[in-house]
Amino acid sequence: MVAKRIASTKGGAVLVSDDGVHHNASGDTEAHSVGLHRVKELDEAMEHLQLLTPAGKLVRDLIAPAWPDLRQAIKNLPESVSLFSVSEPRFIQGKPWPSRASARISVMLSPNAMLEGDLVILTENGAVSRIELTDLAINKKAYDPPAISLELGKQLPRKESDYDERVAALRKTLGANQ
Amino acid sequence: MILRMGGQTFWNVEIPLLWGNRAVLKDEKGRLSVIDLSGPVAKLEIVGDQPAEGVEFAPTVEGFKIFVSGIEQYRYNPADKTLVSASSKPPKCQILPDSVRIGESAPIGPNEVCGCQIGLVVTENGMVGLGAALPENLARLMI
Repeated sequence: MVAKRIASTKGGAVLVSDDGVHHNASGDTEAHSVGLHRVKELDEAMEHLQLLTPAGKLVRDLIAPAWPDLRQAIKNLPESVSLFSVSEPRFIQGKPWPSRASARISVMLSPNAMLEGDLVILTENGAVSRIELTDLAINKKAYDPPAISLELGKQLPRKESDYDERVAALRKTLGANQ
Repeated sequence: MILRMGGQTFWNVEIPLLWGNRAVLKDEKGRLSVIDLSGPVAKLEIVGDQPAEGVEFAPTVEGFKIFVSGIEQYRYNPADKTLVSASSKPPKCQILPDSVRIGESAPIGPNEVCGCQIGLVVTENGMVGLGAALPENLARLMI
């Protein structure tokens, strides 16, 4: 009720709550009528407000070395890395960078043109080895070509990893415990 | 051998904390590791407060989420040492410096557990117990 009142007086609001009672479909019409956007966690709220989430930042860091190559493949891509939104991000942990990243991304090509697509980034030995963009569309209309795949060897910034030390510490704990 | 975690002291215990089907351990620097024991072999998911190599994850504002085959399993907040299951089963588990909090209940501890396979067990349906035998269907805790 408080969130609904704030939304109606302020012209919209975001409610962050993981309580199922706040996400019941029966409240959809009521929430929509006052501009109340309901999300279950802070990261979803940041995505809704088009703020860079930690996952979005990681995608941006991984895509950055390959951006010039993407600009050659996609017309009107901005000069610097500029992701309008990153949703459903997933990573496979690697050392030191994730070995795989995937997400649905959107990029503003111009004030009237939004490019969307499914992104997959593969890394190997601290370099981006492959980028795939599929289901590409501008303003929901299929892009030509609808998919782009680039074989690369673009080095990522050097990053120290203390992974081995963490594993050694765990082994020590296990050793002491068995 | 002796291990202290969340205010509990475990003597000759194989798994200090079993959260559902996952073993939770604390290293000497206070970082948590989580090992999934539900398969035929133990699978390291979190090592020293970070996602383990080869594990599917997504960073969040508070920490990170762990996925298995694209399905979110749980969230971990390294700052306050809290594990939250995506399905709410088992209940939330927080390793405090001097106790362990399960769900919204009062903190547990300090206790001493000696000579059991499991020190502190939290079942899927939220039952909590001190000192238990290792369920037969779980993998051996090895990495």
